[in-house]
Amino acid sequence: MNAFKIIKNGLLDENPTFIQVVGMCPVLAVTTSAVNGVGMGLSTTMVLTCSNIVISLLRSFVPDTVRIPIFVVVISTFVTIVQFLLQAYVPALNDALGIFIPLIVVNCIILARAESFASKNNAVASALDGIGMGLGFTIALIILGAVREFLGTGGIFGAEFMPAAFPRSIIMILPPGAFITLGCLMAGLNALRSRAEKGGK
Amino acid sequence: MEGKMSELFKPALALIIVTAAAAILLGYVHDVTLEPIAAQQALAEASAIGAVFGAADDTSQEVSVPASSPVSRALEVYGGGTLLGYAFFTSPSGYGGAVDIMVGVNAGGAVVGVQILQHAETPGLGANAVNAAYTDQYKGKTGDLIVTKASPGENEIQAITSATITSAAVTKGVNDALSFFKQSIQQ
Repeated sequence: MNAFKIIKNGLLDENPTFIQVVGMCPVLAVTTSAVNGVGMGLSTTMVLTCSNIVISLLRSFVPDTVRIPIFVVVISTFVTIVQFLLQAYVPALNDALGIFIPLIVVNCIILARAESFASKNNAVASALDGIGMGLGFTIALIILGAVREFLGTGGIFGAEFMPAAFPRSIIMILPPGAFITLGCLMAGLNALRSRAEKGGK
Repeated sequence: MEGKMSELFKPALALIIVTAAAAILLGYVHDVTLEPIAAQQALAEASAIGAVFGAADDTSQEVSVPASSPVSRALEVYGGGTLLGYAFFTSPSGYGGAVDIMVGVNAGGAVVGVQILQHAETPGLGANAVNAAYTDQYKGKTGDLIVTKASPGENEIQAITSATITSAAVTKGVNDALSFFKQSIQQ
């Protein structure tokens, strides 16, 4: 088990957003700004890593026929606990992330990794996979959020630095902008990858 | 027959154990965090009241609110023994869900300030409702307010560009608070 390889897998080779194209609902809905991308990405990474560890530890006790309901129970329990703890002890973070935390439960990435990795590997490898996939997701969200925020408001992370003459396309902050940005990014990445493959040969 | 029973038994047992463990864990965390969460909410309320009524201290009095009213809570705000005004808490429906707002009204029935406590509006659009540049519009208003996209008149509020729904929600909250004031408090 190569730790570096597992994490690199989540970040690049099997990036959940750009390569696997899984869990796209939050990718499109949440990336209206860069900071939203960071918040959602990091919370998802935390839940993904914890649930991967627990599901990996339970993997020999979970009968095949009921594994999906059990995975869902584990994931939603973690998310609810995270929400209680944030509300009680870190209200500033809770206000910033508030709406996103319940959304993590329906993030397909977590169930996908539970099913395809955590239920078949040991706890340490599963934790690393959670971190790698989570960070890959986070980076995708930040890139998407930053592009949309920049084109839509003239700034990134809330800091507007473009002059007033810079055209601000509000459509970039709305759903069509999400699809447009995602499509362009994926097209660009695919072009880069096919060029790299051709160059390798 | 025996094979079929154990086929059902093991999965059922696994489900029962996992869900029972989850329920116990959740119940425990819920109990532990109940008080801190209530304390945080009280803190957020107090700071909202302080932002609107500068001289307020913590001697506010509850005013009873009928269950049918859109206003969820009403407080008489005091500072140093004098009545500064009233704080009304209401949650109109915005674009992305409920928008929790606090409307401060002085004894004469004019809005002193509007604080947005919690919202799920779109960043860059409806989320700009929290800025003073928008909420300052409500200061001094007394009547039924309408949202307009053009230059606002006497009882009009200018909507945030591309965030008409959010603007209408906050305006409805202020209108609800002012109505409650006129019906129940102003005599």
